[in-house]
Amino acid sequence: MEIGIIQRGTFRRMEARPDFKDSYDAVIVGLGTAGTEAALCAAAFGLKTLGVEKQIAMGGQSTLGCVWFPGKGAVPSPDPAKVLNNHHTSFPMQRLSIPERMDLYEREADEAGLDLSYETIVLGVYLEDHRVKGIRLCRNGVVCDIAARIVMDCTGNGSVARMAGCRMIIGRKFDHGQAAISKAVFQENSSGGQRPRYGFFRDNPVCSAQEYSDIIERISRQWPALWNGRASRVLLEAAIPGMREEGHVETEEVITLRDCLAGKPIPHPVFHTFEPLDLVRIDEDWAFEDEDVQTWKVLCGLHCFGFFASLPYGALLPKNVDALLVPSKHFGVAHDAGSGIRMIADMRKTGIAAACAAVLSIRLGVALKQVPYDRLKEMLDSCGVTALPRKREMTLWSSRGTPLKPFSNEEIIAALKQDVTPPDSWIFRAKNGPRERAAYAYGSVWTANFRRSPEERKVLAEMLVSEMGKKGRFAGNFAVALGLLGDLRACPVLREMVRKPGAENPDGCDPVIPEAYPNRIKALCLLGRLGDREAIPLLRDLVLDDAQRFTADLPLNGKQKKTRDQYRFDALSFALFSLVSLLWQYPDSSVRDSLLAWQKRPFVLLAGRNQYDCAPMLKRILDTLGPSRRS
Amino acid sequence: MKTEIHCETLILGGSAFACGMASRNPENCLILERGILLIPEFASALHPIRVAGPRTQTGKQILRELERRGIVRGEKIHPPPLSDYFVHWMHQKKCRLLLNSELINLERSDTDVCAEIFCIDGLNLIRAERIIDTTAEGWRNRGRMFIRGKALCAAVCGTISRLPAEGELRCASFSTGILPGEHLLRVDVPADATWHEARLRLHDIFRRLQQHNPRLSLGGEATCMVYEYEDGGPIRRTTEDGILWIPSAQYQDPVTAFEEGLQWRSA
Repeated sequence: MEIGIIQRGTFRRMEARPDFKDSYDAVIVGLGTAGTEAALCAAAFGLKTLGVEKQIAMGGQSTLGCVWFPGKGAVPSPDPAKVLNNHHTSFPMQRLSIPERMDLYEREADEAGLDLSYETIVLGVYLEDHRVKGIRLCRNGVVCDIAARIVMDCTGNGSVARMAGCRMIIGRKFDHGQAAISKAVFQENSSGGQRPRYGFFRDNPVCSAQEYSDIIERISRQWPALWNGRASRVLLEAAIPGMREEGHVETEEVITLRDCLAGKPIPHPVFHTFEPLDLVRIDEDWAFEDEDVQTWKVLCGLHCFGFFASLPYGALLPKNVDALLVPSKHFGVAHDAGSGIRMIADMRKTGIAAACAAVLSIRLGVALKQVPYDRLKEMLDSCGVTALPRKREMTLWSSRGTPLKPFSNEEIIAALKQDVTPPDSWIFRAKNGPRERAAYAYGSVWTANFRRSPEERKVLAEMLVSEMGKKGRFAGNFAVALGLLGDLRACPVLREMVRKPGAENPDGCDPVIPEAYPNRIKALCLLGRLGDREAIPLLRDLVLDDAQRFTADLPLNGKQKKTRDQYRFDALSFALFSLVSLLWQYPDSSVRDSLLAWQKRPFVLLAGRNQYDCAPMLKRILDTLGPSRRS
Repeated sequence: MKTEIHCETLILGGSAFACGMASRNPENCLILERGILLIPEFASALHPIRVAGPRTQTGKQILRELERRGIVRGEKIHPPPLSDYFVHWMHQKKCRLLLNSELINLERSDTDVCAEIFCIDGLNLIRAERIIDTTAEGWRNRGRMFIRGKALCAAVCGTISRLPAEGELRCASFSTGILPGEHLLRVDVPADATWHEARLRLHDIFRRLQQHNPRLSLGGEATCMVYEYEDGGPIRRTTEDGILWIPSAQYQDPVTAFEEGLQWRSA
């Protein structure tokens, strides 16, 4: 037998002779939201189950993390009687406070016969070939080995999976950047109400222990709770940080945002959800993000909408390792969808799904990968896990709460004949106003790429070209929409918005609109995607000018909190990425050389929520510049 | 971390005592804290703290700052914001902290100690000349025999109009916090009680209280227990691992514990 460990960030595997003190059917490591559900469910179904948790309570973000919104439809809790008697978990909407939830979990653990080990960490995973056989635990310096038929890694950061030799895929493609870290407190406001507040964030790099420690420390120091005045009285501080993203384990199946939006049939779904894309980046560096995230957030402005997703069973099964499940936010969901599919309700369903799979694996004597889906679905149905969410598809809701139909071409055109400004509503309070309709129109155009037939797209494109051809202040909207369809006929108008922005534009297709996200910046992104060679000199000139002229007339937007430097950062980052892409297709040594000279120039640009110098980030984009080739 | 860390003194536990000790000698000390909060024995324990008069200039300075920030009023402290304040203090003093990390194993040589620790990036090594343990129960539970009892606290919100009959709330007590309408409920548990047992007991007591006062709610539950140690003066023991154990939780308030650490000198 061997033991897998992580030493200074690197996986190692070595021969071992474990001294197993006890043996369990299922060991669940990490008793956050998913792990708690998994552990309680597995125990309730009769498996001898051990729950291992580094902290002092179950529940993770929903308890120790202070993620609780009083007065809202809060986290539902399973009914212990039903869990025990009917193998059924219902989702009654109980508004339990944090301490009440902690108490409920403890009582449920007793009733289900779950063994708990708090303040315990996993040092290593025992393996025979590719099969997990047990774990090495440590509690306050006291080490012991536990045998397990199945291990569930519910840590959220894949640490146990990594010790089992699984590969992790971290963050976005460009630089592995991940969603921000936060810290929460429970605060009393001036009217005596209580609510959680999320502390100052810091973007989450792939980092060492010291870097991580420094980030947490920095957030603490910036925390306004240091002033415990009447208006911001701290009642409780979260004992764990808000780690929104810590990579995902390489699993048998992985779903992406594109899969969700395209309605791709998902094999063997274990649950369904409808969530917003809640990706938080303190640096607001959307140009560095994966393409579909950019489209969602920047080009379409869809932040007030949700998307429907189904999680396949294969997303819980790590590749090349047996007897291991990964039901937590590190499951098989790619970075671009992961910021949506990680909410408390999703985690609960994931945990229950994993427990059901473990139960079947043990009862039927089959490997996890051979668990028959029809039997699994039957269990999940009885637990209520596979119920479809009320909201499905990316739909608009009327003020009465009823879904509206997806936009027709005519509705798209009508919605874009306005000065488009981003919606200010949030997913669960989305209004059917002009802002939302405009964003939905863009979204409808984008998703037409993978939802509509080529003939239907052609019809839509012709309508957009016709509207764009009328010129005037809305032409830019239609150019963006046409660009979202991948239609090259958008390029001339997009180029003109870059060449002559704002009042300079003779056709008036780039009006300066207060509170709007400027179409001209969207144009910078789209010109690269469309592979427009003629845009190269324009983009180069913009960069060499540090985007000064390009952004000079943009309104300092109080609502969007954009400073001049933040607009410049957006413009430069999109322009640079487009240039890099275009120069790979159309090498041009003089442009390349001028950009490399720019890269060496001293330059400071303060952007992001924390107003730090992001010039080095911009310059790093050029490290991926294509080869020089004399034209 | 790709290399070993070196320090003169490795301090286990980000306690108030540890903060005091490290702030006197920041370059040569490294604090290893399992959680992400500092001074959890006070900030996270939610028990009623009364501040004794500080003896040192530094202690007085800290107390003034805590008063200025509304964290201390009179002799009473509102614990939750303490951690962030001390992080701020430690940063100003350029003290070294490693959060979310804990000690796994030790190997001694003639000249130093090699400590194997577990952090977010797995196992790492620290070389130190000495190790001071300020955690409540001691590493590898070496201090358990000195613990007489424990308590789990919670903040209770609302008006207590009627207390249960005498004897119905055994081993529980109340005190008022510094926020309006805030009461601190303290439930005593045996010295060997687990978190699971302690929490069930706390909520059992609270439910009995709630029967007489239906509008009460629990505002927050402690994430660190309160410790009562055997009598006989301040605890400073060298354990069988060769570690000097000085539990910070033995002191009555964070400023006192901080000052003890600040003034501590090895023999």
